[in-house]
Amino acid sequence: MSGGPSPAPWLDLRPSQLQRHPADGWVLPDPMPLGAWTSRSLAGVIRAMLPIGAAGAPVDAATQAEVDLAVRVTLRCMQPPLARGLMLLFVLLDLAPMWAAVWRPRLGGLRRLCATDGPGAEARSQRDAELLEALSHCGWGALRDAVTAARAAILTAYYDLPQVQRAIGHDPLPHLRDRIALRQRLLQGGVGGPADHLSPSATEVAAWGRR
Amino acid sequence: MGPPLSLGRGVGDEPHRHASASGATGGSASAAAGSPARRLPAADQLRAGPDHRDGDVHHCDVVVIGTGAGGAAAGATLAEAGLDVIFVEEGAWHPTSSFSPWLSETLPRLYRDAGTTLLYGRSTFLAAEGRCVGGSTVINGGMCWRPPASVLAEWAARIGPDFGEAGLDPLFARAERDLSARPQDPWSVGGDNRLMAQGAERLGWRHDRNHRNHDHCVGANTCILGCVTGAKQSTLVSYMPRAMAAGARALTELRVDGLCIEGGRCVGVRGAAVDRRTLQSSARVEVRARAVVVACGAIQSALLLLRHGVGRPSGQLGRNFVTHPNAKVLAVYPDPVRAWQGVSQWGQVREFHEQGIVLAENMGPPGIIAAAVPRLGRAAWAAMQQYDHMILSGVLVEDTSSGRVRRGPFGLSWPSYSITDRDLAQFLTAMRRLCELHFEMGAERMYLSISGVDEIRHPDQLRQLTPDRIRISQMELFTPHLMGTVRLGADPRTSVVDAAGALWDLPGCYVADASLFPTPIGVNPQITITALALRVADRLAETLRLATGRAPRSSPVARSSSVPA
Repeated sequence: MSGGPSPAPWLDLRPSQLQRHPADGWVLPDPMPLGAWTSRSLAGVIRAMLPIGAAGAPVDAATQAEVDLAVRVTLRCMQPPLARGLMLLFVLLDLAPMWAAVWRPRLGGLRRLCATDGPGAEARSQRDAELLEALSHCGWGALRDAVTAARAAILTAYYDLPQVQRAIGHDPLPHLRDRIALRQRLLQGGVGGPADHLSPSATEVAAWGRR
Repeated sequence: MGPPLSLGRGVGDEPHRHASASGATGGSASAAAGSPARRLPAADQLRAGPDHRDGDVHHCDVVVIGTGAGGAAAGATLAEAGLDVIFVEEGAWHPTSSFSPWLSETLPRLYRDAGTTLLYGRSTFLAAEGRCVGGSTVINGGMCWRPPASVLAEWAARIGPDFGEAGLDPLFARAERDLSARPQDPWSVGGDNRLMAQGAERLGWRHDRNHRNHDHCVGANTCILGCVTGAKQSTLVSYMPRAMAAGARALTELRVDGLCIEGGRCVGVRGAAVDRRTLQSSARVEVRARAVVVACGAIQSALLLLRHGVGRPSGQLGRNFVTHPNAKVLAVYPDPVRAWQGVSQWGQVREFHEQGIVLAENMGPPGIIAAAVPRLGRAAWAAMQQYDHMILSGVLVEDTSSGRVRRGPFGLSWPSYSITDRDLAQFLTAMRRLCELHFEMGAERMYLSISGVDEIRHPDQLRQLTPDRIRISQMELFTPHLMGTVRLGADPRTSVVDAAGALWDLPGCYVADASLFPTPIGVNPQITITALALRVADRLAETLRLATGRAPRSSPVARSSSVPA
């Protein structure tokens, strides 16, 4: 990897800091305002989909707030009728323990996903995740698609967070800095060498098959 | 904050007007980065969202709506021919130096609907469209494949020899030269691509190296996030700088909502500035021109023209919508592959191309992979611990049917498209093949984009992938290729525009984007879009030159007038 100062310092900025981008002054659209009920529903669905209780998983309130922000910005950018549909979906999923108890009694109950108070909250979160996962495999296509849409919106935002990426052992920035520096070198007449090749090498890859 | 990145050779020197002239929404980009301005075009060449004033009227020879593969190529050609060109773009001008690896920032910045555009049908699925200067070329993989000879032979038969292989060859060659289409350098190739190539070799399958539009691509693998190195020759860093250097102007963050039609002729466009915080329409703006080039993609071009009831002779406007849908296979290997490093799609498995199937890797950042893993909560977390071991790969299937673009209820755009039973069988065959390749190379398990199908851990499980067990509604598809809807042809009874790209029933209005395609092409469409756009622009430039003797050229400042509301 190339040393020296970063050629693109803004790469270090977290998404939530990019309210106004230093390179072009672009502003992040305002998050979609939600009513109190819908807002709680969204928080409940987020919580049910995040890895609450998993070792090393960042799931603190600040992280959940960052996911909430990203989802609301997405809602703002969507076609308005679709955004309203997704908001309704969050409300329905928040109530899933009630209506899904009919066919998944073990996972259901008279509560909302957002009800996180009291003892056993962590265990409930795990059951809620199982419930939503069961819905995503159910026979009713519309319901399946609905859970898939919510999963995509929430998990895309969650696993995009730098602290979450670090926790799964991923940091794209050194690679990007190295590649930016390499291209600058090439444009200035340099030549790429073996050290510039991305690993694993062709020889390693060839050895993988038919183990 | 250190100095901004300078990539030399003009790349990355694209103009980046950043904020309101009043400074209400941000300061100078260069100032923010703590360094002097780089080589930028005159500020009055680029007018961004907050700069638009209600009642602004601009005048030019040609207004081009859209700055993607078609619009930017057409606009640059027209500007270099001496015509006064204004681009109107709904998205903003985001320079290379602003691109980052974060989806939460990139999707709202660069993608239409933040990447949530839906195609409705038996399996409703997502379509990706760029909404920024450079359009979808900023977020695509940069593949440059000419259509197969069989496709061009059909075009020649339908329209004329100019649209056959020989007729279009000079245009393809020009587009490839302009966009620097070439194979990859070895240092840009990552483990996933090598693995796919070696898997194909072991199975005796043909694997072809892609030509991609790049200048010293080094395998950053941020193609879909905006290339952070500026190597991918999107129109943001290729045609747009050329157009601006030739005197073109750009009105960005301006959403066109109608054509100006007077005396049966198209004489301009009207639209509204897009408020950056609410995305609502604000200042009304009009651009008057001798000709209008519509190049906002297969969905938006059709929707714009549908507002005006054109395309009536054939009734084909909005129809013949084709999408090259693709499905994903996420493979998990026992060793780290680090597929997120290295160019996206060094090559493609083309053994089954005659059957309309192409296989390729297409790795994405963790946010995209998490959406592809059918798990939630702790189970998803456990799966994502192996991100470094994963390869996202895909199958692209050539359309055998077509859909339609219409206006839907509640102001929705309503692009409808359904795969057929035959397509389903093709998808399942292709996904089985792709899984075979991954098993051949030692993958431990795979997740398929088929709802209700759990992970695949053994080749025997592939037997369940048959059309009698999988329904179309279970397929979780995706497409970045949107084509058709404003079909080009030689007969007004079966097409919407003529061979010059002019609407049959609206003089002064031309089309120069993927919506022109008479048929699906079975390959990545960028270079074909550009070739057709160059053809449209060449002829339009000639027409306008003949009409006036010589296109006038005046200073950018003198050509705009601002009319108080």
